[in-house]
Amino acid sequence: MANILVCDDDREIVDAIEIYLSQDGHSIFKAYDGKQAIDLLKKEEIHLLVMDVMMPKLDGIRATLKIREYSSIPIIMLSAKSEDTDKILGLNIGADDYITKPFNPLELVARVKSNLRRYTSLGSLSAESKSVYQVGGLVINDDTKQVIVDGEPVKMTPIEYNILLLLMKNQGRVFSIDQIYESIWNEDAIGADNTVAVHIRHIREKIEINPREPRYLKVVWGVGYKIDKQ
Amino acid sequence: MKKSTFKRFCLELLQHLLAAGIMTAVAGLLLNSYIAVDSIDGPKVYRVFPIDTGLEFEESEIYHDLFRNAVSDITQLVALKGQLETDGILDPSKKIDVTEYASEIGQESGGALTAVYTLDDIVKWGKSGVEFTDRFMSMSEFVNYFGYCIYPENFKLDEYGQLCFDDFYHITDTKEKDGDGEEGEGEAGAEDGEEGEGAETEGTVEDWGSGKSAEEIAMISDKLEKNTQDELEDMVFSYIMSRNLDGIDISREDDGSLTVYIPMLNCRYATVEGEKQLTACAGNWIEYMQLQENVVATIESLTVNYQRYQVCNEAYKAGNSNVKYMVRMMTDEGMCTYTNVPDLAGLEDNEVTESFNEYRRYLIYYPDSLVFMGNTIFSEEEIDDYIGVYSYAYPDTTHIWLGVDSKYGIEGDAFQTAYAVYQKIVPNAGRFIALILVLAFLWLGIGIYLTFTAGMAIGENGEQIRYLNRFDKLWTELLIALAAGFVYGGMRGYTAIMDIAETAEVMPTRLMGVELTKLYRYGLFALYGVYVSVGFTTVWHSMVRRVKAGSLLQGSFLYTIYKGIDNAVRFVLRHRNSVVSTLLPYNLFLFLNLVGIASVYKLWDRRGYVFLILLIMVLVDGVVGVLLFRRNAEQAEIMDGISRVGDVEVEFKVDADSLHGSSRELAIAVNNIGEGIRRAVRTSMEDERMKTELITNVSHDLKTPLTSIISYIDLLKRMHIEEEPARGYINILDSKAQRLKQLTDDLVEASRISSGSIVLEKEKLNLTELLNQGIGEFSERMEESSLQVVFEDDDIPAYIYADSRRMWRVVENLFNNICKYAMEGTRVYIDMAKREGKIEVSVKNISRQQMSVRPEELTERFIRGDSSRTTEGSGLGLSIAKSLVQVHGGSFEILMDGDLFKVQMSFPEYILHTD
Repeated sequence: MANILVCDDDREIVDAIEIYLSQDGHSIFKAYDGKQAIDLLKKEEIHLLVMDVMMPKLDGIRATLKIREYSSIPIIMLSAKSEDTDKILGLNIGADDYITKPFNPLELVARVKSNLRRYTSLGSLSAESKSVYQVGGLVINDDTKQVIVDGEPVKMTPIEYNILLLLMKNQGRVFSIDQIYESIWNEDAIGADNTVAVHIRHIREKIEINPREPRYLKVVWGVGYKIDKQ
Repeated sequence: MKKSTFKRFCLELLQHLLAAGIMTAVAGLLLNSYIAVDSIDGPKVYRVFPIDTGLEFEESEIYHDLFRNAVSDITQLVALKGQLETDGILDPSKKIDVTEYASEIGQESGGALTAVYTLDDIVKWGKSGVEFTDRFMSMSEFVNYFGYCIYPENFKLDEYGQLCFDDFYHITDTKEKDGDGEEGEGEAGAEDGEEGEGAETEGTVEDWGSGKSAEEIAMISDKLEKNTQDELEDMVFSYIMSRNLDGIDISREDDGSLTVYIPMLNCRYATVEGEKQLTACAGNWIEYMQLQENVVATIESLTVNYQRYQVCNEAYKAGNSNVKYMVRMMTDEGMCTYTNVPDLAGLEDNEVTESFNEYRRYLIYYPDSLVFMGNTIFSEEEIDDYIGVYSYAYPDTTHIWLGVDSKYGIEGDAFQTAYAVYQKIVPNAGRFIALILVLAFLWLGIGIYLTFTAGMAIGENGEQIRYLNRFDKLWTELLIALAAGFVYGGMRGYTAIMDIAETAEVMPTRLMGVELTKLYRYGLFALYGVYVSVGFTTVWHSMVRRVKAGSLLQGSFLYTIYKGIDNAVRFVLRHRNSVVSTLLPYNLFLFLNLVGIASVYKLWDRRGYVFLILLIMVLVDGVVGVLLFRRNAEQAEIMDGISRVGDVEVEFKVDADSLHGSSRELAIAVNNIGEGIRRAVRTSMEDERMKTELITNVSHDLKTPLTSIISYIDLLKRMHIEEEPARGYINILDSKAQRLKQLTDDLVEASRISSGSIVLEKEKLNLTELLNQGIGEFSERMEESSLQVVFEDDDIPAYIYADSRRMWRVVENLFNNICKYAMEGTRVYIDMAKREGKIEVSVKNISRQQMSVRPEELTERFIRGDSSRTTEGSGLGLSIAKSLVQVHGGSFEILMDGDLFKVQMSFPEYILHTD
């Protein structure tokens, strides 16, 4: 389906990723440092790059910076560095996604799929309808009552749908449990307890690749929930 | 420790009570151990000493003393009987020859004259009293009272040829009767009756009995004529006076003549011959006075003897006394027997001896045949001494038998009384002594126990601790002084109670104005016992404690002084440099000032020098003052610097360049110390940072291979291997790999938090919301374990100011912990309360397994409740949670009560202006 370049100085990791991704039908190109990756990018037609940060010769950050000078292909960063600062740095210099080692191979596969879908279908889903709301790969169509994640429809219960719609309509705004309860159930939030929280978790499990590290429906601990604008 | 003190106190109290008991028993022994006995000489008191208690009454001192008294009384009685009785009965008409009697009792005053009175008269005379009348007369009267005596026969020449009076050889009754007729008559009668020799033939020169020759008499006559009558009378008077007659006194009258005073007996009764006046019996003053003395002596002696006889005779009469006696002697009048055993009176000596042998105690003595038998402690010498007093009454032929009837059949006499009391006291004394011994043994036992345990206490862990109380910390000398005081008091007390014991029988005794009843006496004894016991134990136990603690010497005043001097000497020796740099210059400074003052005083007249010296002094003193001021000011500066470095300003430095001398050295030293502290702080911070970095790097390096492991395990799983062991192995690998992943993450997190290298992004957040969100997140897992969360206050907002993601980490870890360790099917309680500006949250659950660790261990790194480290998780969850809560200024505490596991957290409540 797509040509994917995997770059890591650990050959076994590269091989493992190759196994997973080739099972999905992708063509895999392998590189073991930043220089090789850049060379390969120039030679081959690559649709997505999975790259480690810490590598000999040219590290992931500098390689990304160089690549971004001429290419906008999706870059997923792999790194043992799990600190927030590392993630922020990676995302800021042009990475599209950031996965910390050790990762779940299936998550990687899912993220690759997600990024590819967005990259290939970018702009094609630009429905101008007022009742369609989009954040990244997440689209909710209030007319058809449909939720699509990375191009694939997701089944939701009415309450889950309403909560998601509320958050999608007010992107960037944080809703507390009480607020969500009051607007969805239309009654006072006395005894709302954790019903909302449970629903939110269910929603996350449906729309997020890794519900513990959500891309769309984010938990603001101690405050509420939100969906960020993109 | 407290209990032990109480026990000691009780034991000591018991000991003092025992001491009181001992002394009360002693008092009982001493106060009851006397025997009061009526003797001839009045009541007599004997003390039974405990030593005697083993003896029979007949062996005791008291018995011997009573026996001795009996012997004494009876020897006297027998002598008196001889004097006063005729045939065993008191004979009032018995004739007493006074001169003979006086010589018997050893009071004769010489002289051959005597007068005989009846016993009756003498005793009556003695009872009514012997009276004298003072007669006074002129010299001439006196000399010629018994008749004219200036005859040559009566004079002699002494070895110097001087004329002097020789003796009354020749007396003629020529004196004028100037007294009353009665007196004159008496004198005349006396001359007729008694001095027949003197009045026989008057005028016959040769026959006056002076033994002088006619030539001598003639020569003396010549001499007589040469002397005046007065001179001759003087000679006679001198002669009389030279015989030392009692009572005659002279005085010189105003006209130069001499008056003689003579005490003359008032003759109350007449002699047997009917002569009333003693003067009638005497031929001259010498004879008269001697006779008069004999009469007086006889009267006095016999009167006493008579009374004594009455008492004695009554006391030792048959039937009145248990003492049996018999005295038999040969006198001029024949065999004479005195006894109070009338049955024996007629028996032969050996029969009497036989019957006396039957008495328990007896004494048989025949002085003439040297027979001395008896089973008393009496010796022959002793009885000889008694008899010797009345030797006139006891001829050698005397036989004495004396015995005491040990049946004591006759009541009321000394022996019976003493025996009765003695029998009462002796067994009691034994009991008292036994009681005293038992009490004393107990006292000693407690004392030994307390001595061994003194100053020792059982500590918390059961070990022995030595301790001293406040009293023991006083100087040892004070203790010794106190001991001396106690000893002195004890000695005074001893004499006092011994006094009480001595006077026990005297019933109303007073001591310091208080009448001593029996109760008082016992009380004083008991008090003394307590005093001795308290005094002794106080001093002794303190001494023992000091010895045990080794502070006997160290605790003394002398040692303190010694130590003080020693320290002072050591201090000076140790600081020799300071002596050179400070003490010597200071003394030199003082000396110079003194020299200056002295010089000014000396050179007062020479103004020039004075001015110069004063100027120098002012300058020198000023310089010294400035130097001292500068030094002090600099020291203050350094002190300030030290305290600043010591507080927080690690970077602070004292400006050493601006200081001088030793202050500069000090400042440099302080700066060096400060530098050391700065370096240490830097090093420790660097170390901590390096440690965190190391852990982070190591965990990064671990993560890369871990990624491969996890990936390939997943690939293996996808191969759908059905062979059983292999499949199980893959599952184990999977779970362990996941755990390793968790562990590396937590490890980094924990080390970052503890090294303080995390940055908090604080915001206002609602703890209730957070908890609700958490419950929601964990709802599935809770349901899996059938755990029910009870959170009552889930609608009360509780705002805190914190980093929301870190707080989530705390809640996540707590809930993770609950899911892992809570018993299935139980409830989890979450309580929240606002209190004094704090929000307190507690999470309680029932543990699945018995918790075998201490709560604090759970929050230490890598410790987990089950301590076997087999289940999932890193063991860092609670540790991280606690660190995070603390970083937010809150508190995190784990409480365990049986299977109840409780986490208690508190956070400062968010207040608006905390922004």
